Amino acid sequence: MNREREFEQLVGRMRDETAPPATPRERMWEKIAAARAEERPVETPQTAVASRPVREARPWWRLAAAAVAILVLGVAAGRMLPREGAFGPAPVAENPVEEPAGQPAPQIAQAAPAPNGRTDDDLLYQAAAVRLFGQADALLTGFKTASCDPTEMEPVPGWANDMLTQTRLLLGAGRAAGAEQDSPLRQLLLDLELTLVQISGLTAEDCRQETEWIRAGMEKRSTVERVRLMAVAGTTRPL
Amino acid sequence: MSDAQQDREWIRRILAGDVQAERSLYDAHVDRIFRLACRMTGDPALAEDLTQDTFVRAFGKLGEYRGDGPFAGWLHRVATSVIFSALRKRKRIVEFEQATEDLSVYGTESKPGDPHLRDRIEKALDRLETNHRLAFVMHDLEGYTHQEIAQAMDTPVGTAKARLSRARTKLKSLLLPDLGEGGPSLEMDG
Repeated sequence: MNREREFEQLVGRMRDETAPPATPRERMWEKIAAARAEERPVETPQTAVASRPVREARPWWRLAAAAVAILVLGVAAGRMLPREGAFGPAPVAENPVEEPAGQPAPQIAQAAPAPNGRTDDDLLYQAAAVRLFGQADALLTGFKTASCDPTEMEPVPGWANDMLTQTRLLLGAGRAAGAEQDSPLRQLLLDLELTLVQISGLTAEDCRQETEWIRAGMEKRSTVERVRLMAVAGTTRPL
Repeated sequence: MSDAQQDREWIRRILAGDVQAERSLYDAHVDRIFRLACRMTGDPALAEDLTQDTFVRAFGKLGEYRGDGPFAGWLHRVATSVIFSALRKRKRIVEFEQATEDLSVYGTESKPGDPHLRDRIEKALDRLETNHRLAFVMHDLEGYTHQEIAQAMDTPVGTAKARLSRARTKLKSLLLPDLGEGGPSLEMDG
């Protein structure tokens, strides 16, 4: 009996301790009304024409996709170059092949130390990181306001997945070079990796809910702002 | 006009394209949906998202509501589906984040009240099966009837009652370990 009474008292306290705040009716309604308006496509000739500029006014997916493709080449090239400095010594050919007479030997980029002490590998890594952050900025900024319209959202997981590959390449390269585990650059890459994992897992079925989740996470971690700062900072100083 | 009749009238108007009727139907039900989402997630911001999602989905498939039961029950089934889905995703994301990064940025918002008790309560509620938790939250915290809970869960009333009973038994064993019922204690979790 005592136990029942004590449990009832506890439930009462539970009711108070976990009491929801006042319902934010207007704020929620604004979003619901906006979502409903999006879902009411009235296909008249006028609206069909009017809808085209909206799509064309959102070229950020295409920009991001193109940049990802460039980045793949950049990072891949960086990883295939001879390693030196932070990435270890460059390999030396034991049996160099002689070039045919009269033809100059092909020029191979050497990882020579730059005047400021940084190697070509360091510079390549930084260039790839700056480029990745620039494109991630475009992708994530667009993602923050994108709707779940299939024409707009359908290609996004694929692009995020491509960018995820680049992020992991950079994380791997940084690890190989002995980068500090808690450096701001590495932390940002990890945050970006998390966000891209989430975006690449988006499905049409739960798009609205998932995007809200992802946006909330980005907001909490200030991901876009940090990515943007790093992209700008990386053009003027070592990251 | 009864509440059920009023709902049906609004639904008829919504299906005929009356946007104002959407707002009326929303106003009539939003409080309970939001409160339920809050209680189930413990996160008002997430509850907002889930409430919005519930109404957007419900309005989008309002044509599927056949009117063979109260609209509130049908709406709560939509809400339950949305909330359960969010809880599953949150579990996956938290697991991923625990594996990859510092979680210190999460759960740092201060809330009023007794943080120790709230922490114990939230831990205990988290340990319940989602269906059991829903039954407990709806009945004991939000005052729904067994009939309403059964409609929201799309189960017989007996099943809803059984889930509530299991939830209470489990909570007693978790939160009142000192009174001799045995079972796992939250205090032992540190």
